[in-house]
Amino acid sequence: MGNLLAMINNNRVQTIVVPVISVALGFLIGAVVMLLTGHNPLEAYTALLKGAGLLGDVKRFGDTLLSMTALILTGLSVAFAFRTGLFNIGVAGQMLMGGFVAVYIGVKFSLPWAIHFPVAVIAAVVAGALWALLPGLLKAKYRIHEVVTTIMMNWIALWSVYYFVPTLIPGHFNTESKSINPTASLRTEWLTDLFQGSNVNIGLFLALLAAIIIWLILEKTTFGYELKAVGFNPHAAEYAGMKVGRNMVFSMMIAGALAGLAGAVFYLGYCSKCCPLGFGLYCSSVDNCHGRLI
Amino acid sequence: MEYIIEMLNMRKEFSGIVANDDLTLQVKPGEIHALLGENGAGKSTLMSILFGLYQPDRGTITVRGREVKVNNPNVANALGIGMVHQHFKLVHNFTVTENIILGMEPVKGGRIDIRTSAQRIAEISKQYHLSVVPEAIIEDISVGMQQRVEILKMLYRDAEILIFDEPTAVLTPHETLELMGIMKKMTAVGKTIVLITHKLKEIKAVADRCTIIRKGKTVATLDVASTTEEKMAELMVGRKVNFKLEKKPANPGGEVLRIEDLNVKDQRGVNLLKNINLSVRSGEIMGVAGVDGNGQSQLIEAITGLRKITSGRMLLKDKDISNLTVRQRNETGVGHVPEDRHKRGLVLDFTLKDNLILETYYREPFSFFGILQKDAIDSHAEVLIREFDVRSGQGGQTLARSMSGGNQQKAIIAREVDRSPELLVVAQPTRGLDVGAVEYIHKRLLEERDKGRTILMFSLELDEILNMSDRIAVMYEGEIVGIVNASETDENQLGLMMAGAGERSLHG
Repeated sequence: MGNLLAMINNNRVQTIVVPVISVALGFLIGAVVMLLTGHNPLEAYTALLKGAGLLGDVKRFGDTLLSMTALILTGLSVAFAFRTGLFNIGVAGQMLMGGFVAVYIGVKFSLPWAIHFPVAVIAAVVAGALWALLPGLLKAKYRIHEVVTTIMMNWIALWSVYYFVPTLIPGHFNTESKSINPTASLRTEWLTDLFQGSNVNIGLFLALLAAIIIWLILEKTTFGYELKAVGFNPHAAEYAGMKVGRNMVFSMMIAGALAGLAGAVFYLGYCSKCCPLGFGLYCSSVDNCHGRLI
Repeated sequence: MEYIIEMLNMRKEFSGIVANDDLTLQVKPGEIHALLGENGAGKSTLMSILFGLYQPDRGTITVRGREVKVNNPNVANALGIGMVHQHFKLVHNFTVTENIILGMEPVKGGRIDIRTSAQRIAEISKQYHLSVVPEAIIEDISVGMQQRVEILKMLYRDAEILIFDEPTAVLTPHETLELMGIMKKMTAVGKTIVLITHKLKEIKAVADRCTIIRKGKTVATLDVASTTEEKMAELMVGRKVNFKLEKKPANPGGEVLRIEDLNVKDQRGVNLLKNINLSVRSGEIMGVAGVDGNGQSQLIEAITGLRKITSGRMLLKDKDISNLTVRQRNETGVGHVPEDRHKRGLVLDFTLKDNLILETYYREPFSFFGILQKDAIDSHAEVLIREFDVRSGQGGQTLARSMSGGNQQKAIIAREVDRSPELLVVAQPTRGLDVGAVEYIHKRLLEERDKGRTILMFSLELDEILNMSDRIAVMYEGEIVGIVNASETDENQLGLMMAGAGERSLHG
């Protein structure tokens, strides 16, 4: 018993055990509710696992990875901002702007594949970062809370894209853009074949790469050290001679860049079009957003 | 009824931390009973239990011979127990009268009857010589008067048992004397006082009996008249305490810090600092005394670069630092032990080793082209932990938040001293620390002085100022009202200066 308690109190063990237990409890409580309402939890959970492709369906598993791609990046964006003391609730807007710019470049330019898609992705990253710049500046200069400003920026992003898609890159319907050129797509034949036709694409690797880079920045660099110090305690950071405002702006922009990348992988890897009605994350929860009003 | 309050075998635990282990407090009616203990010994927890803010895990409370359950502060009020908190609980833009009657306003015809209550307040304040201006707004009156308002609040509610939580921390020596007189008057008419403090001198001066607690346990209850300060200190700490600091005479060298006609105004143009002139030499400790809130914080911020100055200049070894950034000042040679170590001094969610490089992380050997050098950071932490005796659960990996106040402060001092700055600005170096840590930090600062370091030490504790300083500057309302040699002054003279009666002639 003593050993068990010691193990549970160990921080390293906790970081693994706590999420696992939480998820398990979630399933358990879900099961209780299903039993009470006269459904079979085993059947439901089997369907859940099957749907996710965890029971051997390769295409479905690919689709799960596809959904995961954008979620990794949007989650990373929020988490990064959190680590540096900011609450970036504007991921949706930053993602949408990133996605719009990526699709615009994907539609308007025709370049070789090796250049076209990287340019589109980088442009999306920059667009996301710039979309987060204003809230960052307002926070740094006037201490205007980023929750308020990023939500406002979300709506500005939404209606701007709603206006610019039919004006600049109109598709078949008012509410969707033209499809991007295949050279801008993140899909590759070998991945699609490997997952038997799933839309999973190299965005997945970009997302994993982004996660590693963010971890390296936060844990291994003086830049990350500063960002965290400012996030945890701006007064102490100021005392230590760090530029608090500048770090807040950088922090917001990196979070925005991650969201912009999420936009790129979503719209270049999955939708191939820009469908502005509805924010990115809702979009990804719907199986097929080709040309639909979301 | 021998005791008016009896708290027997109290125990209170907070998620694994035992705040009160086995505490017994017996207070006789009409006495001033001191509650003495180091920080974290359990004084505040015990009083919070009596006042109904916490529920004890074990133990009984008896008031006037009847066992009671104090579930919330209203019960305490009904029992005639009142508390003067260390941080006053007053409405700043209300008048004195309005604050006193707040919560139990007399109503006449649907309106508050200020006149009747003002009359009653006048009577009470006359009876106890508590001079207040009834129609003054709280934010315009002195801290001493604010405290008298707090006392009146309790008397207005007919409190019979009054708890004072560190009441003299915010007072000048003169105001402290006044307060003691007031306490004596209250006990003369039969009120009972519990005085929470760690100042032995005050206990000796005013208390009848004294209960000493250590690590959550009652160590002894003594008759103050038949004991000594040394004895009480020994019981409080658990070992012999060396009161006398071993201090060699200072051997000051050349001027290191020079402040000329420094002025600081706030956004509204109100003067926070007025024509500050100060010169500090190497190898001396210049103490800055003053009642809290007389410009000390602003002066610290101005010197360390955290606040913009309006006019004047500051020279560090003839280099003008007036308009340098914090980092530039750090690099020029300003070290800073901030007055609020949690707000400024530490990133509590960082590990100890990361806190030890808070100002130097970007420089070699801790950074190499922007990459943190783990080995250098680890060994740096190890050296400082050993040299400054910083104790923590997991060495450099310990989260700063989980360390004790004394060790947090030692870590900050280690960091600042290690940078070997020309000038060390030290603010409230021992606030809230236990006797052992205080001893260590004082010793260490004197060592630094003897090595030729320049130390500018701000403190609200007069004893600390008198014991540590070679010269003392006194601040009052944003001005330096006098500079005296520590060996030629005493508490009384400093007290007068702190209250504004300065002698501006004693410069240098």
